[in-house]
Amino acid sequence: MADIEPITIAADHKSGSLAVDFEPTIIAFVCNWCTYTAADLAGTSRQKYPPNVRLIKVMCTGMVDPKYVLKAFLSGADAVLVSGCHPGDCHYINGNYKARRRIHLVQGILERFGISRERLRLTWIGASDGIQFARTIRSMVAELKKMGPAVTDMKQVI
Amino acid sequence: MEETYEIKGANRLDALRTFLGSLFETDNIGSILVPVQSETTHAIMPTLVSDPAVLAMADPFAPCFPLNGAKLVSKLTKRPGDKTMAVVLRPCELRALVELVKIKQARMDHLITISFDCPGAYSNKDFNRLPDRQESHTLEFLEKRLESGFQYHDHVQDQDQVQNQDQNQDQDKNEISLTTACSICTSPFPENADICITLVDQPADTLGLFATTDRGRELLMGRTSSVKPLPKTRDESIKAVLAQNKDAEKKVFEALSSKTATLEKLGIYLSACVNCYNCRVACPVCFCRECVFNTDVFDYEPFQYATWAKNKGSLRMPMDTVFFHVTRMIHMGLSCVGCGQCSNACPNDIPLAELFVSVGKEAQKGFSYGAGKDLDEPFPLSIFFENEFQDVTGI
Repeated sequence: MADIEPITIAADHKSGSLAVDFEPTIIAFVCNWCTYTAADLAGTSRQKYPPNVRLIKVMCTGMVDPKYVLKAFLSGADAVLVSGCHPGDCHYINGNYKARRRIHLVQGILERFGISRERLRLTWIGASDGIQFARTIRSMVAELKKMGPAVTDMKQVI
Repeated sequence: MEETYEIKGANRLDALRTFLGSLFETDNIGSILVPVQSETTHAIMPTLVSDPAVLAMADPFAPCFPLNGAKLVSKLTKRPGDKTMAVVLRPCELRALVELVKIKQARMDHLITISFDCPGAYSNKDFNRLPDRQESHTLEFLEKRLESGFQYHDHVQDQDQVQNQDQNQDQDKNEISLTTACSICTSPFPENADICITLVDQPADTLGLFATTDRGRELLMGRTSSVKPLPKTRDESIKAVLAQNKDAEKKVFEALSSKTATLEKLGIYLSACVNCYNCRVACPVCFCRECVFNTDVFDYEPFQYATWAKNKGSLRMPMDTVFFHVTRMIHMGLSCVGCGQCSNACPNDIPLAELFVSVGKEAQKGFSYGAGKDLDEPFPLSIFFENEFQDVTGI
């Protein structure tokens, strides 16, 4: 048993040690009408994407409170994705326009504290864009692996 | 240039009191909100005056800024009234009021706003420690500030120690510094008050007056006071003050950004915070009746704390400190008027003002917005357009 190579477990980056095999955590707030459906489609059409993303279904990107985004980062997420309908396609007419202003604000403030814009994304992924959804997650994970964890010492984040 | 008037008195305070007293004579003004010194304690608090005799103790120029008066005006104007009220506010208080009016927390329809060249203020702690808080102190303070061209203390400028209050006090025990918020204030001159009172480059017995709105103009027009142009040197003097404060601001912000460059560092910066939320209470533009941080959302179950402690190895309590402050930046950063009351209210002397001012200014820049500058400029999160901020979306 002793000479068997131990399975590489993505080291817990929250404890402060930078893992060689860093597996980022993405929290994705996806709108019920477009991106969630797109994710569903990606699944049913056997699109592959890495399992680093946790989807949270919301009714509209316009209801994504900045506190949700903050809480994700403060709990150790390495990136947050907010994704919904294309402009003009919002089920609630204009929720995504409001989300865009809000994300613009939050990006600016978080950037000031070392959470770069690449870590808080807003994308429009329509219900039929399963392929694009998978592609988005793949490219985000690849990018984050290069960037490393968002916060290296969670204990300091009081 | 606007038509400007001049008011004379035995000294600056006297001239101001004469002017305020004369407002009662014009028909419609029923009351004036102005800082008034208490006869017994010498505390100076905004006071709603309806008896002209009380104006003898009015002292808005004192280096005392116990709270941002915009919140009081919000209370006073919650319902439409029929009597016109005048309010004497510092420029930052007026900006906060403009923000509150925009988000429908105050109204201006029966309000005459009066503001003045703000000489700045001490922190509440410093002011309350002053042994002599008589009228003469205000006049001396004013004279010193005007004489020096609103200089922040010279030795501070020389030694780049704007942010280091402790050392200043060691060097010069008799000299109290203005608050950091005041020393980095980039708009200490009234811009959009109905009536602006000018002190800069005026003789010690004179106040200049000019109006920036029709309401103000109407009020000033029928006055007996003499029409006299503002001192020619005023523009130059103002420019010098602004340049100097911008310089101080730059230094403070630079020191700050290295201290708060990551969330961890921000946590260290805020580590003395006890989650008392005084900063939120003192903030004029934090207007929610019930703050979400006081609701059940943040009323966790004991097992949740235990779980978090287990996951992280330790859990600093009270928790959600960074969460609270960053949420506040997101909520009120766009409306931050830089009055510095957050620092003033902090029981543990966390330098919050510079943090919120710097984050707020940056956020406002992102929307080409200036908090409190213009009543007609809509609050950024209350509007949206189809083809804006295209760079925010996409990967």
